[in-house]
Amino acid sequence: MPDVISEESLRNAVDVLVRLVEAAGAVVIVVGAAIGFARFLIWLVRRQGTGGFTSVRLDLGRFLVLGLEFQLAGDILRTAIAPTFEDLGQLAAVAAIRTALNYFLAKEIKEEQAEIAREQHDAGGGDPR
Amino acid sequence: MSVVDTLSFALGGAGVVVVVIMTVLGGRWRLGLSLALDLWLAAGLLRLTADLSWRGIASAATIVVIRQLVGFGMRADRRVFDPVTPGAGPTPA
Repeated sequence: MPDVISEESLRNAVDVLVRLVEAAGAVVIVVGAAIGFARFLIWLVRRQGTGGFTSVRLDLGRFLVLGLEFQLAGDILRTAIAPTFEDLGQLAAVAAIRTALNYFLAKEIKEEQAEIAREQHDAGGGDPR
Repeated sequence: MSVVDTLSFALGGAGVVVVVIMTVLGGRWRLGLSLALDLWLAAGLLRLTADLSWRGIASAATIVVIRQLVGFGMRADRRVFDPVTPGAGPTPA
């Protein structure tokens, strides 16, 4: 009985999907970095406080986390078409790096959100200056 | 140079610009370095999309480790010294 979809066709289809998903991750990272840099320049011109700078980093961190999620999805899809153990090993290493980074970034975002909330609370409680 | 290489290079350059500007304007190099590390990380992640070799993986891992170590060091510093206030001079080393 002939295959409904040949293995080669399936491999090609998954390969295209991997490229699309990884490209989406790359676009998110580039757009996030560009926005972050632009917001930094605006922060510089407006001479805002440290809280404004933290907000810039926070948003850049969020874009990086989202980009990483796409790239991790691409890594998972790629395991479906990884033909050799070396390819699988490389995928495992990349997935480990991206997962660890995701964890650290999420932790930093949480800390920076707490710092912004603390600064807003302090400012609302009366500026000593 | 491919598109990914160009963008990665641009992000790396943007990081350098951030550090230079923040150092020149009031000596706030720590703040500049924190943002620059994020931009260099973005550059590293972008390169990893195009270069899935052991060398590319090692480069990305190195950037992540350096970023975490420097970030850890700066947070430890912040616990000892006060944060920089706008308009104030450089923080003590």
